[in-house]
Amino acid sequence: MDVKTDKDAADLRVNLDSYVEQLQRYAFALTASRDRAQDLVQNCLVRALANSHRFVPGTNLRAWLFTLLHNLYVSEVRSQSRRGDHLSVSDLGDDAVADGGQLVHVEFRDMVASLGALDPDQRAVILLVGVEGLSYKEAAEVLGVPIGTVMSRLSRGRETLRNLTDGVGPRRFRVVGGGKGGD
Amino acid sequence: MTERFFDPELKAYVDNLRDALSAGAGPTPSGVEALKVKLRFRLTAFRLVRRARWPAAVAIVAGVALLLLVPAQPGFVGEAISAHRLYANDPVQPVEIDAGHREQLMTWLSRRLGEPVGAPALEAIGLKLLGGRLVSNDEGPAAQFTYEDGRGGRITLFVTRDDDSDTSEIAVEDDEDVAVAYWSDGRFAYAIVARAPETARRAADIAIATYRRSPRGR
Repeated sequence: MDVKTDKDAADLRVNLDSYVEQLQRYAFALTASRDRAQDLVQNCLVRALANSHRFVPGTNLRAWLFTLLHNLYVSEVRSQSRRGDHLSVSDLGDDAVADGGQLVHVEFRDMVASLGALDPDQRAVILLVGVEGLSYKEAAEVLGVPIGTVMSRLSRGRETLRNLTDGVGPRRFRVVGGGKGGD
Repeated sequence: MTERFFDPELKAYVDNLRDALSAGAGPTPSGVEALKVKLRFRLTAFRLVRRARWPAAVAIVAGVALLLLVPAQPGFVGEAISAHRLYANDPVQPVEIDAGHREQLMTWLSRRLGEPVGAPALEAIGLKLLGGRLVSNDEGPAAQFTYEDGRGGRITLFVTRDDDSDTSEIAVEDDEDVAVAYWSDGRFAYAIVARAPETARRAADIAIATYRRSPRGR
């Protein structure tokens, strides 16, 4: 049994759980709604099942799943803008935050709403590379752009965020209840 | 991972953002959980048969095992896809009886199929019933209902007798340019053909719930 197939098997056994968690988080960041995020992830997995014969073992499962989800989101937004029914993270309303249950904090809302300061291209790169830890190459594959574009969007996004955190001081982004990272 | 890209202050921001987003996204719902288990199984199965380093004999055994594990697509599914391709997008007469004569349509098709049959309301997902027609299937007559979305896209609901009288879980598959969701409830076998797998899936979820409430699909 060679190392590569062992790695594939482990990838499926262990990592699919964390990939789905990541997809859900990314979908929530894009849609700012728990319900819509869950729909998006559900549709992503339905599509993955329908296309599972096209997935090449040994290639990057995470990038494949994120690509499916991102494309579904893009086509959803496109059909919404045709209907003139826009949504954006900066419009994050009480509906989305009320779902957060005990974590309904002004800080939590600020934190998620701060994504609205980024334009959609920068936001996607900050989320994929910064939040989800995808490599430049994976992010490029997911977004269907060259690696150089990922790098320049990332640096512009970083600049926007730096201005944001400078303006209000880093403390503002530290006070999130129940987090595992942070201080 | 994030250390490489962010100075300490931005790293703190990104870490907190990750926590806030996880809290916002919430736990994995059971529907997603079930799909995840299916996907893991499916990908593992494909991985086994594709292992090129295996001797051919082992690969064949694995392939046969896979065929037994993953049931082959039943024959009516292919008939449903053919009927969809042949009639649903016909510009002149996609249906024999239109939705304006609903009672007449349902009475006729129910008599031909030998049991009450109906077309569930799919307005909730933006699909309006155009009407229906009688088509043939290997096993006998079948009903084809055609729905249309606001942009001229059409989907087919195909209903035929299922004499094996087995119930089966819903399955969703791609077939070239269309996707098909199919299942059986012991009375009839059903297939929904649409362009996108998630449309087929959503329509199937509604249809299953409707037929469970009433065999006439109302």
